[in-house]
Amino acid sequence: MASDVARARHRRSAWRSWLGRGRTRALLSLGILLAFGAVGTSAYWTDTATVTGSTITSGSMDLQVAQTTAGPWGAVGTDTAYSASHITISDLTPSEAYAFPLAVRNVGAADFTYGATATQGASPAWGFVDTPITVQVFAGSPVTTDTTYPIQQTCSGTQLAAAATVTTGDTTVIPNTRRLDKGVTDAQLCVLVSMVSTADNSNQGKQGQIRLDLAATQVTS
Amino acid sequence: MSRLRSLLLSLGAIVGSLCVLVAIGGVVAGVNPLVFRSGSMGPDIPAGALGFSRPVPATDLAVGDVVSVLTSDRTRVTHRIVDIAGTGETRSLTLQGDANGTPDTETYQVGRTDRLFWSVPLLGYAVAWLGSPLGLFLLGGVVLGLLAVIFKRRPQGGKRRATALMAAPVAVAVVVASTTGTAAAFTDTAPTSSGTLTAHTVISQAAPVCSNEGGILGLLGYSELTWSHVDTRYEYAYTATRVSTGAVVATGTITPAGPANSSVTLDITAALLSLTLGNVDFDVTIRSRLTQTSSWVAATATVSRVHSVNLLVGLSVRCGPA
Repeated sequence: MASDVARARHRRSAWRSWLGRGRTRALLSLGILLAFGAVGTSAYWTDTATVTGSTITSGSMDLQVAQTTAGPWGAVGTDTAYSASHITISDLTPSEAYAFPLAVRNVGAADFTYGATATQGASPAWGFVDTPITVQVFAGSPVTTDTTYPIQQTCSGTQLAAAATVTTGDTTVIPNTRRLDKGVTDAQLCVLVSMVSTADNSNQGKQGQIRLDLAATQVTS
Repeated sequence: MSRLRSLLLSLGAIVGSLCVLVAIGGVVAGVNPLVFRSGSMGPDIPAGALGFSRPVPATDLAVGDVVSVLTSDRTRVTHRIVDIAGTGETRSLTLQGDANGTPDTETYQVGRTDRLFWSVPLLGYAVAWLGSPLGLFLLGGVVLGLLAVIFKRRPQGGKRRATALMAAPVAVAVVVASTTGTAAAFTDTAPTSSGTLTAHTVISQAAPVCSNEGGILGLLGYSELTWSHVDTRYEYAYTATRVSTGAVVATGTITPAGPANSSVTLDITAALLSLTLGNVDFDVTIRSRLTQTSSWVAATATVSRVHSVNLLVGLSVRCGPA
């Protein structure tokens, strides 16, 4: 019917004119306040970090390792290994302890926290019997003045974790919370390697290697 | 109105409407917009991307899903699932950023978690910028301008039928919506291997030299065993046994104070062996060991044979078999 068509055309044009009004579009634009509201109010509604202006970080991470804070530095680049061959003991007996220096720095594009776990290395294959080796990391320097049997060197400074038995699993020697901002070199660290006093006689002449897995995680807040 | 103003208002209306839709999605379906603050999910989800997640039960998760979880220090991490463990209502997730070489060190226990279903590059930068002081200032200015458009008095008097209807839902949405930033954090590992740790091997002393000493007029003769001190860390444990019966007649330890290669002596006397008879053979077994750890002994021991001699005036000990 002509009147129905006219009425439909009238409704369509009324709808179009309603959308066409600047006022209407301005009101819809106010929806953008939701982004503002999100930034301002999410702290009250969720337990997660709010978005703030300048926290988007691209670029790569780089944790580097050396013996002393003077370098030379290894583990250059992401996920590269470091050979701490200075951590060597040639004639270890029960109740003895040897201290070695270790250093870490952050040369990547982002702040990070790092930690480390200790485990049995593979080269040479672990030959010790009943896990007689322990390792402990200190924020300090090696004290190597003891040269008489049993040799019990120490590390100065404070321990970062309790002495850890070196097993096939991963034991924390540096808790994951040690923070290094980008460009920062950590204070000198000290690694103390010991054989327990109860090490069995069958350990005579055996060999092994310790692997310290350092892992850095980007800090984004 | 001018073409530019009309265009801007249309653009604003579209963006604003989308925001309303996202907010409604957040209220109705728990949709959570996420700003990716690092590039560890690259290249598919670069830094500055905007993603959208919705909550799913842990039992619906599969390896390959990208999920957003809270770490133990309350930051939000959005990474891909590489391993799922567990049964029942909860799961234990191992996550790894696509651009990271190793999985995250922490595993996450979840009963229900946010799974990413869509992401758009670059929009995260815009959302994050809106939260910065400059962005908020400009947004405030835009809001004022929009309010001016809405409430400007029109020369011929206007109809305000849309105004009241639109204000209420927008106001509610403003309060309820949330956008969270997610730390799809980069990682770097440095496996640090030591040199070789070698345990000591206890070395045996060489076979002792036996010499006959004393025996003035056949009396109080004894055998003296002499060997070279192997290592200042060692002491020597000895055992004297009667050969024919195997009975142990004497034990003891010699802890020399001298340097390596100095002489160590052990006198085998009649008293030591509790001699009662002549012509009896004895074996003196000597084994080196660590002074601080007596359980660490040399793998081999030396055995020296001596014998008793009975003379009219008394018993003596002489080197060698009877």
